[in-house]
Amino acid sequence: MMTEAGRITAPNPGRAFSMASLSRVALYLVIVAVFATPYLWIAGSTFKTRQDLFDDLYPVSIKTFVPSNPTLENLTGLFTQTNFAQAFLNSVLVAAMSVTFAVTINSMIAFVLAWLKFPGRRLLFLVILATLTIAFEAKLIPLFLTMQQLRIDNTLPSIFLPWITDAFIIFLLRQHFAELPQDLYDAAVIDGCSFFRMYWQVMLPNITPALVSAAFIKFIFSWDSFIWPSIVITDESKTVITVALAKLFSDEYIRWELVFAGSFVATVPVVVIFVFLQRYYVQGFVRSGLK
Amino acid sequence: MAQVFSKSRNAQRYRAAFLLSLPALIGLFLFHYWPIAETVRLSFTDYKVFTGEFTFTGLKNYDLARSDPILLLSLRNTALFFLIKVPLQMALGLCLAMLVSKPGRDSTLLRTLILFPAVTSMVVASIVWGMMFHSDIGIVNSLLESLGLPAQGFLRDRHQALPVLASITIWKDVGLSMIFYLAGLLAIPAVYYEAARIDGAGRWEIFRFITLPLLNRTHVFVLVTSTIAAFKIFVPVEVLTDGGPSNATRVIVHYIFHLAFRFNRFSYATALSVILAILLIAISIFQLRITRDDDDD
Repeated sequence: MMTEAGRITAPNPGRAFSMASLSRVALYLVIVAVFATPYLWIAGSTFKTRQDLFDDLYPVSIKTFVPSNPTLENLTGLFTQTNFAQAFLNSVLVAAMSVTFAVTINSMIAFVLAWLKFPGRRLLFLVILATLTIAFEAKLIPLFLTMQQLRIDNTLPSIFLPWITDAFIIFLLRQHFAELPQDLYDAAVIDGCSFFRMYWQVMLPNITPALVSAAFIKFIFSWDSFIWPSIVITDESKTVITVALAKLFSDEYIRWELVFAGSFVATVPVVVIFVFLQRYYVQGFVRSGLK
Repeated sequence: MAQVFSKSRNAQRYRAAFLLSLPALIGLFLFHYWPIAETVRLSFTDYKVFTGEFTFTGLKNYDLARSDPILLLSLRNTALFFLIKVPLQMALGLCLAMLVSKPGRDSTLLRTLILFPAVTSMVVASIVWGMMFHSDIGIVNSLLESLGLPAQGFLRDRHQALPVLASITIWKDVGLSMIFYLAGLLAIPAVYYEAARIDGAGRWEIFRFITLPLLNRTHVFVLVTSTIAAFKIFVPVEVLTDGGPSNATRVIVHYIFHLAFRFNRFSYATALSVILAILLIAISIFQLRITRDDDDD
C-alpha cells in the first residue's frame, strides 16, 4: 500500500512500466504542473520583451516559459519607472520590525505564562487565545480610527503595530517554554538567577527552533499583508510591495511585463528563504495546530 | 528572616513578570479588545461624514441590514464559495498528504513545491492566476484552444467567476491542509494497519475504517480553520473581480470594506462586521458540536 510510511519494497525491474507506476508518474506530473507552472511563467516572463510575452502565449510551448531574447529591461523598468524599489524596502523594514518586536514581546509573556504560577494565569491565557476567534476584518474600522486618533496613520509602524501581540505566537512559545525541564529552572534559582535573567539567559536560548518558527511565520504574514496597509497608508512613498503590485495590476493601461517583474521580485526572496527554513515553518504550524 | 528574604524575592519575581508581560498586554488591550468594543459601540451609531461624529441611533443599522439585498447576496455568495472551497480543499489536502507521506526524495520535493503557494503572497497568487485565467491573453484558454476546445470567460463569466476564485485560494491554501493531514497520518500507529491487513482488509477498507476515522481530530481542525478562512475571502475579489461580473463575486468582507472605505458608511459597515463576527463564532461552535457528536457514536 502506498500510504504506509516506511515500508521498503524490493526493486522489481520487470514491473517498472506497469500501469500502476505509469499512472503514478502521470499523477506526479499533473501535480508538478499545477504547482510549478505559475512560478515558471512568472520567472520566464520577467525576462521577456513585451512583444515576446504576448507572441509566446499562443500556442503554449516551451517558449512560453523560456525567454528566447532574454532582457533585464522589465526589472530595471520596474525599479526606475515605478515606486517598487521604495515599496520593496518598506516591506523589508516592516517585516523586520514586525518580526523583532513580535518575537520579543510575545516570548516574554509566553515565558511568564509558562513558568510563573499566579492567580488568574489560566484566565489570562484564555483571554489571549480568545482573540483568535475574532476575525480582524471585524476590527478594521475602529483600528483605522484609532490610528488616526493616535496620529500614527500613514506611518510604517502603523502597518505592524496592531499585530504585535500575537496569540498564535504566544501559544506556540508558551508550549515550548512549558516543556523545558523543571531542573533547569531549579538549578538557575539555586544559582541566584533573577526572573528576568531566567527568561533571557536560561530559557530563551533553549527554545531557539520555536523562535525561528515564530519569526518566519510572522515574516510571511507581514510580507503577505495587504488589506490593512492599503487602508492605513495613503502616501505613495510609504506603500508596501503587495499594495504597489495590486496598483500596477489595476492601472488603466496595464503594463503586463512590469506586473510579471513585480510578482517575481515579490515572490523570489520568500520562496528562497522558505526552501531553507521550511522545517521550522511546518513545525510551527503542526505544533500549534494539533496539540 | 529567611521568610522575609523569600518574600522580597517573590515580590521581585512578580515585578519582573509584570514588566515582561506589559508590552503584550498593552497590545492586547489597545489593538484587540478596545477595537472589538468600539466595533460594537459604533454599530449602534450613525456616522456623519462632515463632522466625523458618531451619533447614537440604536438598532437602526441592524434594521437596515435585515432588508439589504446586497448583504443577502454577499452572504449567499460567501456561503457558496465556502461550499466549493472547503470540501475540495480537505479532500485534496488529505490525498496529497497520503501521496507524500511515503519517505523518499520525491515526496520531500513534492511537499516543498506544494507549500510554495502557502508562502507566496495572496496578491501575487491572485494576479498570476488571474492572468493565467485571463479570457484573452491567458495560458488556460490558449491550452484549451490548442486542444480544440472553446475558450472560456472564466472571471468574466458570472457562473465561472466564483469557482475560479475558489480554485485560486485552494491552490494557495491546500499545502497547509496537507501538512496538518500529514502530521495526523504519521501519528497513526502502524500496528493498526498491520492488524487490518492480517484480517484481510483491502486498501479501501483500511482507508475507510482506519485512516479516515483516526484522523478525526485533524478533520475538525482543518474544517474549522479553512471554513473561517473561506468566510473571510477578500484579496482575490479585490484584486481580480471587484465583486463582478454582475455581483457574482460580491462577498461579505469585500462588501463591508467597500461600504466603509469607498462610501464612508462606517457605522453600517461596523454593524455588518458584528454580524460577521457572530456568524463566524456560531459556525465554528456548530462545526465543533457536530464533529464531537460523530466522535461519540
